Amino acid sequence: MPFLDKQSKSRRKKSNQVILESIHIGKCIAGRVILTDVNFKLKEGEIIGLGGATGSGKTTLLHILLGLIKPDNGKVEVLKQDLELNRSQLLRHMNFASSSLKLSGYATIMENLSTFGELYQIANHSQKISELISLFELTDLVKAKTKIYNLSAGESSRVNLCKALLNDPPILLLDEITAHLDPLTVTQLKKILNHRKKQGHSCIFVSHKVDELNSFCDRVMMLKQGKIKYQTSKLKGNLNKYYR
Amino acid sequence: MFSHTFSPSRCLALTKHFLYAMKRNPTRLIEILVWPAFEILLFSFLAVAVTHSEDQVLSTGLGIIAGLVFWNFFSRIVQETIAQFMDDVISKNMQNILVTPVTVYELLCGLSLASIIKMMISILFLSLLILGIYPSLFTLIGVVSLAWIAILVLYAISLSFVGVALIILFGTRLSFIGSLLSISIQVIACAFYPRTVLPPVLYQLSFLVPASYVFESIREFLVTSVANTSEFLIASIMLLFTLVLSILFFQFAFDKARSTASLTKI
Repeated sequence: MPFLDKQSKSRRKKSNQVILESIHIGKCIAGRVILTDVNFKLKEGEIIGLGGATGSGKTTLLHILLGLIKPDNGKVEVLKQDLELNRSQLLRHMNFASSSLKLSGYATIMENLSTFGELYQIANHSQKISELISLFELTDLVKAKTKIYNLSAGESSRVNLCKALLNDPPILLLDEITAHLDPLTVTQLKKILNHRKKQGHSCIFVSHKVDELNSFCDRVMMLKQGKIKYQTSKLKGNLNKYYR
Repeated sequence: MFSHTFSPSRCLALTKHFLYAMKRNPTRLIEILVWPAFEILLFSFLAVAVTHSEDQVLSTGLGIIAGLVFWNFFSRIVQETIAQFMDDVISKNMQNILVTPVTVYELLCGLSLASIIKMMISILFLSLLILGIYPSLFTLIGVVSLAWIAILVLYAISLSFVGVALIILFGTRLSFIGSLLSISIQVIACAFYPRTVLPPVLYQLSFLVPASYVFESIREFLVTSVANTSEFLIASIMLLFTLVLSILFFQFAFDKARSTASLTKI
């Protein structure tokens, strides 16, 4: 992963700096309370796991952190700046991948990744795309000019991960990205996240899988009825208390 | 997405992105080449018949066919621009685009440029077709029609902004909105009849629609062979007004969709 090293050299010197902060976030959607007073800080080089039962507000929280949803209360700060006031600039430092999303169906993998390379205004994005394609073992599919429509769910998730790592984001948000991945790719992803961590890059990792939350993350936050009910380094014991 | 920065390179990246679907999906070429080709042939044959006849019915028919050709052209741009947006919604890629540093204005600009490029390909193809079949017809209306087409293209794009904004607000159940908007504007755009036949309220409303000036001009031109520049000027002013309003509406819809979380449903 040579490209991951370049941009992060200056960041490596800093430590424990808050890179993203959720300040008293609250959100109601269609009359239903989804999130209530969600407070947390993501530090440089930290991986936070986000768990909780279905409908607990995990994806909504990620969408708020990306500015796709406007919170009713509170605010999100990225690099000490209000996301609402400077979203376009701050999104350069973030990226996102979700197992429920795909890239443009009629375009090929290369065309899609080139588009995102240009949207993130990455200098020499072709080289970075080649490295990521090789990293996620997509070379044959790229050579065959495979369209996204023809990819399996797992292949599509690997392409999504290439897209998410394209701008070498200091803040990476992953929403159940391992749902369709094989164990080898999950192990590969863990290595990548650990490598990024050493460079000072951070991640919020949403998953339903307890073993992944425990092994990938420095700490795990469990959402329950829209509130952060538990923060722990490892989920252990009877899991019912975290989910019910 | 909400700041007022504008990056031409991001805008061009989106334009290329919206054009990939056409490149990789040949059926989309039928929409912009084959249908208009048959319509222009129909118009050409009728135009030739009129020039060889004093028949009033044929002359009226020519006006109607001209209206039909230009109206379908207009309607296709509205639908194509919305279809480009819907391609990404159906692929589940729109959220990926919306979490990049892209702004609302870059997104609209990318959509518009892709539509304009597709229409230029269409116009080039149709012009060559007319030149090959009836060169005299091309010299008769060719140059003047470029001004009308420019107004119609930009008006169609502004209408498609409204369509996309409504899809953002109310979701993909409104994917038919392009056809609905076109058909509802058609009544007061006066594509097939003069403005004077409209009842008083609709008559007044038609003055707000830039396309109505184009169709009035086309009918006048077919009778007098003189282009009405004052109608063109008024149409341009109304167009500017409409474009600004549609962009403001899009911005409003976008902000509203963030508040209601409907942006994450597309």
